[in-house]
Amino acid sequence: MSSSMTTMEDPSGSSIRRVVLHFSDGESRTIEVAEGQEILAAAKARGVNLASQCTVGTCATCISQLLVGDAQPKPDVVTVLTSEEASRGQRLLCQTLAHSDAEFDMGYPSSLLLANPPVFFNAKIGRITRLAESVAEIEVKVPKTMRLKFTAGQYCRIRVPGTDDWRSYSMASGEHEPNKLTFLIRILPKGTMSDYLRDRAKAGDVLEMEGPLGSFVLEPTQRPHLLVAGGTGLAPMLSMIDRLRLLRPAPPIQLVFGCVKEADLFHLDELRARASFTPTLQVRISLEQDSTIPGVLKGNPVTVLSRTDAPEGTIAYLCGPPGMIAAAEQAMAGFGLSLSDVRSEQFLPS
Amino acid sequence: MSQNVYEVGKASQLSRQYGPYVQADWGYANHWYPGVFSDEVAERGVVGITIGGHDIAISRDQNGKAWALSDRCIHKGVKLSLKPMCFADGTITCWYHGYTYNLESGNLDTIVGSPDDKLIDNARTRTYPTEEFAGIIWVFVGDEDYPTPPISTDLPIKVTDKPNAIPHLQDPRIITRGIRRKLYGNWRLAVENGLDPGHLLVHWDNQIIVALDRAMPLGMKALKEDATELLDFEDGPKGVMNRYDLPDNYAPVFENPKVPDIKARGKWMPEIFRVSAWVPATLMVENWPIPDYAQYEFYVPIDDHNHMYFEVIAYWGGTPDQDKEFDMKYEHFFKPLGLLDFNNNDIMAREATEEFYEKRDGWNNEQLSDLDFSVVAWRKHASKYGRGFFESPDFDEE
Repeated sequence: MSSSMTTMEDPSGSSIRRVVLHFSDGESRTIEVAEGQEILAAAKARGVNLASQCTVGTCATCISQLLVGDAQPKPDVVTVLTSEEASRGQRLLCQTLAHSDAEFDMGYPSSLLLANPPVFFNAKIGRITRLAESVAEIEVKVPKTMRLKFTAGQYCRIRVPGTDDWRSYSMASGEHEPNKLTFLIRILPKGTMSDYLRDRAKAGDVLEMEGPLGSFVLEPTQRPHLLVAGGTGLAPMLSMIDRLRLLRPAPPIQLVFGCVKEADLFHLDELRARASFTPTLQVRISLEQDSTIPGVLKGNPVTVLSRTDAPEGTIAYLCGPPGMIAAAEQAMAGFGLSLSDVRSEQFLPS
Repeated sequence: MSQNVYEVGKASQLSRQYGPYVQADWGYANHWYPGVFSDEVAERGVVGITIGGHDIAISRDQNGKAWALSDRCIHKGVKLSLKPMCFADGTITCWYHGYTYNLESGNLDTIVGSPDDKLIDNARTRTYPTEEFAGIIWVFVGDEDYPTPPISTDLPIKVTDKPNAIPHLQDPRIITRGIRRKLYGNWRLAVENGLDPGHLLVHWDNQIIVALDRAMPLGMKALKEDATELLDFEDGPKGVMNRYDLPDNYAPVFENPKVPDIKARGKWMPEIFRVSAWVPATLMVENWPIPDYAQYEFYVPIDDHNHMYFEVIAYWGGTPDQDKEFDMKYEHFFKPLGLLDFNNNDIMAREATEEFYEKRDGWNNEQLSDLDFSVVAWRKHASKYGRGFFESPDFDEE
């Protein structure tokens, strides 16, 4: 075949097909596929990691149903798809070319595109520790038949036993412990989870849970990290520190952790220990009310910050009540951090 | 919140001080570990091992170079090492359906009975970096994309502060002999037993001690907070050392009036055998079993309840006659009296400890005392320097 015979790329872009992928949860993704390009490869090139394995037509993991359009298997390629299946519109996307715009039914939810799709599961309480008057730490054991892989910063929903109420809590434990999760729970004078923890909870209780959820996730980098936490907003920060300390070299980490009063303060020993085995971690603790504890700063975690806490290249993670987040975001902007370098998650007392 | 419903172990506050160590049930990932002894793997031979849940096949190519790759065929997950087959230079073939992998790259080079298979060159298996010296094939195990650090960062330091220094594992003049055995017990309990200055009672009546009339106190009392030295070499190994060689650091205990029927015994006081533990899971005992020799021990995690115990005696290689004398001493002295009789007592202690730590959350319920100072120093130090965590590869452990 002489080179003059080959199809030239059409400068108008008409050889680009639009392929719409419909997922079972009602979500869809549209990707552009060039002439001669396999649909699976086109999706991957655009950051959409569809279910697939072998990529050569032998495993059928990427099987999907053609709904609309002309999309055909590559000629002369033998795959595990039978001709009967193909005639019903089934396609292996790793071996399929789009000859027109097309639409596919993927047969699975879009959450499968996530690194760790959320699942429902039951987990047993292993340990409950009252860390302060208003804070409890619970450790739950995930069944050995599964592993709850997650990214530091994510959370789980937990159903309050004996009720239809669900509450959300960030993992305080690290990504490396997919079978044992730790949560920090604020104990309020009245509240459905607080009442359960105060009055009925015991080791061995089974909790209904869903997770991992949430897009407040750590992207591990070697840039300086500023972590600002109010109250039980410390939980995702602990998980992030667990991940960051394994980077080589480990990035500088500034943690500012604030509570209202001494009786609410918790994890002083834990933070001291973390600093001892995380050489790049610096911890500051603040209380809004007067305190006799040595080294504790007066104020909230935002007022104790200064521009020197955010050196060039800093990325900030904020977690706490709405007022703190708003103030912290403002402070970060004042320090010159761009919006994309400030990640935040707020929670309401419940 | 009534107090009695919350069972919190008495050591749970202390255990927070070394959280990462307590979490390392399966061992520290992203470190170098000894895989097998060199003489276990012939050219075109295959030996299977497991480190931190990674099943690894170690093979040797036609040029004598050792390679390591996943011991799970990507096809149906069988272990390649179950029936070693190497049919072409630089490859390993699965005995079941003939998937043939390149030893260096892990690439699926061919399938014996399906030479035109589309999967060929489109699939690969995982490989692991290896090194070979001191009679051992070493493997770097952990996350596939983790940059491989120099192996010297995971070996005990080269001893330079003594005139009769023992050989470093990377010293080209080293000669070694040793054994390895799979043992029940978590790797951490093994390291701690090796380092523990408080367990002399276990060795009280051991053959090598009695035969050599070796001085044997009842215990070693630390006189300073830093009697256990923290060793933290930039870009080098990280460990802790019991400085028994510094008289200001320890006082031997010769008797205890409350237990009059046991007293220190033995007259022979050779060069002190300093003991040090190194990240990830190594022990170095200098001047043991006798002066100028060293015993290196590796407690390589297999899973959360088993480890591979490497016991290695090291000495300086010399003339063929001297090497022969080393072999003689090894076979008829060091191995039977040291590696077997003496260390069997340690093994008994480790196995006896496992149940409490496995089933009764020993990390949070142990009752430590003054004599555990160096074990706690080790736990804290190892918390700082582990590069990652092995995890169970099993989906269903019920």
